[in-house]
Amino acid sequence: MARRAAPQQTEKLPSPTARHATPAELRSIELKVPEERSDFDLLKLYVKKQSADAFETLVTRHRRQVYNFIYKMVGKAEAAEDIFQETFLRVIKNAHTYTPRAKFTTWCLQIARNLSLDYFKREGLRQHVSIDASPNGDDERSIAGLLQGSDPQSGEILVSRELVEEVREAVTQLPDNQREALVLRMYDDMPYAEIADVLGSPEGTVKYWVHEAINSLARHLERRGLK
Amino acid sequence: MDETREKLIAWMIGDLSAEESRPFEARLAADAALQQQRNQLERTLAAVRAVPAEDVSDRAFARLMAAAAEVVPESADPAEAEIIAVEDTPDNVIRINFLLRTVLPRVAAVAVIVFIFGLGVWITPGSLRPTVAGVYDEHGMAMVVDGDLVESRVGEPRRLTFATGEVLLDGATAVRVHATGPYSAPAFDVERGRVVVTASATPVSLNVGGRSVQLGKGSMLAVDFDHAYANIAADGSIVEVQRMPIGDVADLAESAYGVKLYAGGVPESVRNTRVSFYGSNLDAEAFIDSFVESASRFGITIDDTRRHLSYEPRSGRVEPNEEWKLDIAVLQGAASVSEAGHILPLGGKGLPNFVSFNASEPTRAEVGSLGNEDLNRQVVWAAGAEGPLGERLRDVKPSSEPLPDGSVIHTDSLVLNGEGGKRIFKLGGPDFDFPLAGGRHGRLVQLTNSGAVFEVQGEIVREFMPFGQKD
Repeated sequence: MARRAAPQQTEKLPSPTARHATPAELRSIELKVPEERSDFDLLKLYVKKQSADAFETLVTRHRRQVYNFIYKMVGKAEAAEDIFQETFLRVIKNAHTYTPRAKFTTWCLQIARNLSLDYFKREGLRQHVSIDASPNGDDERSIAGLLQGSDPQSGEILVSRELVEEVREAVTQLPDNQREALVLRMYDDMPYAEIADVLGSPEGTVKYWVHEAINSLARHLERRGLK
Repeated sequence: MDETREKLIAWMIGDLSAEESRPFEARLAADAALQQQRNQLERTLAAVRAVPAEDVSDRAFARLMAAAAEVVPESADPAEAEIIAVEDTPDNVIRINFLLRTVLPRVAAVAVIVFIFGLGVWITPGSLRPTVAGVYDEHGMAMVVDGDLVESRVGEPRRLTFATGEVLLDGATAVRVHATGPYSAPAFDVERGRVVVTASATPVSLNVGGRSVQLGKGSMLAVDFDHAYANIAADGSIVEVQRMPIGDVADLAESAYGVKLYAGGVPESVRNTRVSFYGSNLDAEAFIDSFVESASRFGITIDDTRRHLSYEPRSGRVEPNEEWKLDIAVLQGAASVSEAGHILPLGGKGLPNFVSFNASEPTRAEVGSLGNEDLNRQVVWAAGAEGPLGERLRDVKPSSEPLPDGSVIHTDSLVLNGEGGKRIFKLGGPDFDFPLAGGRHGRLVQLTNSGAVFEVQGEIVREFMPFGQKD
């Protein structure tokens, strides 16, 4: 069989995406055990072979990180589940455009972030209440008692469930950029460079947002009686 | 935030390099105020870190998989993919690819057909049936496989849960369940009774009374197929007599219990009137009690020998003399009912949400929308005893909430274990908004006497717990 002539402008072709996977590549991916398949491998299998198993593996791999991010963004399980679903549906609808230049998690979290922000806009919910504001007298509860001291063995600070709830609520009240940066840094342990990619902001700015978020939370808890 | 405090925070979360940390630590060691700040920040960070990571629920995960199954990924532009494949591929691989793409699929297709045919010949039907759902009732849970018939008895509703949603069987119901795929709702053949699709993240298909009902994803629908049916276990443990003519029930007493009932004193027209009653562990006398109780409102009495039926004319409502009646109500979302190529859309904007067929004019549908005027409409059910509503239903408590406008309450009669006059309350309306497991903002009230939680205010009944969830 005569080999076809390659086009002259091959260098102008876009970076290979999942849809450019060749049959040979796909066979090679299929020979790997599922755990060794990269996220990009799974996307290729999904796009080219409509493999539901590949998609399920991909979601299983990232469900916790993505959902945790969304949940801490929106603070409501029901809304978080909807956004979680929409995030992964967007992923598969756009899977053919994904290139491994960005990490899959970065790309996926960008989608989740945009959908979360859309949610606030749509619901008109993001009436940002500064946690720096003084609490109402009626609402003021001392949370000094919510810390349960420290473990004498490890010195680890023990935190009550109520204090955790207080912090969880306070996190939802942070400005969007601080909250996003804090969640990705403190809960996902994501490097600043990656957070910067997700948020589309310089690394230095992201660092500042994380520090500012912690400062705001500390001030908030201080006002609520935590010394 | 001042520079020192920002540096402190950066140091505490490891954002300072070793070179930056050393002078800062020296300063910290000498600064009591800074140490106090550190202590307070330590507690804050402990609390922040103590907030647990959340994971998505398995139900939401299944919902995603179901939704994803409906998405067709945009695959390669064939021409572009071909170019890349050719560039990257040696000639011998291209020839192999040609074989893979053209010859092998045909060979594979033939092999699959032969294999499936072989399966049909060699494998006992049913031995490879996939598990479709779980069915739950007060006795526990059982698995349902493809093709199973699932039944429920009056007063013992059952909940059928599958990957993408739930279906409630209420009343004397029989439903055959068919697998359609791992992430899609099974299909249901409703042989009789009441079925409520309470929530499904994927479309649901029901065959009932010769009609095909297609329900959109996220929609909710109630079906009541009140069909002539009798099932009397030899030991009387189960008695289901539904929509049977009075004359036929007298014959049933003889065939089931060996007790001859004489209906000669009952006019022909009344003998053809249909009655329903249900029971468990009924002996012959209890069966007769149940029968007479159900027929008494049509003027049927029994003499002291308890063998001779007679008739005393009385005014009042007469049941339609039909073998069956099929009501379909869309509670949320949209559905369509099709029959012999005719499609009747229901539940969308400006469309009726209720349709009723009956045996006398089976091809003519009575359609309408639920409202306060539509009291005789099948929506959902609550069974209770006679007396003020709060006494009739068990586990009830006063409600502080009024019934929303456009709601419907319907009363009906039921004879269960010989206790006549129990009433069934049917309640629903456009403004109900109940969160349901697996659904979103489900507008549904499922009231049964199975221990669900009710709230009651006067003649108003509302259930505030999703079905299957009890306090």
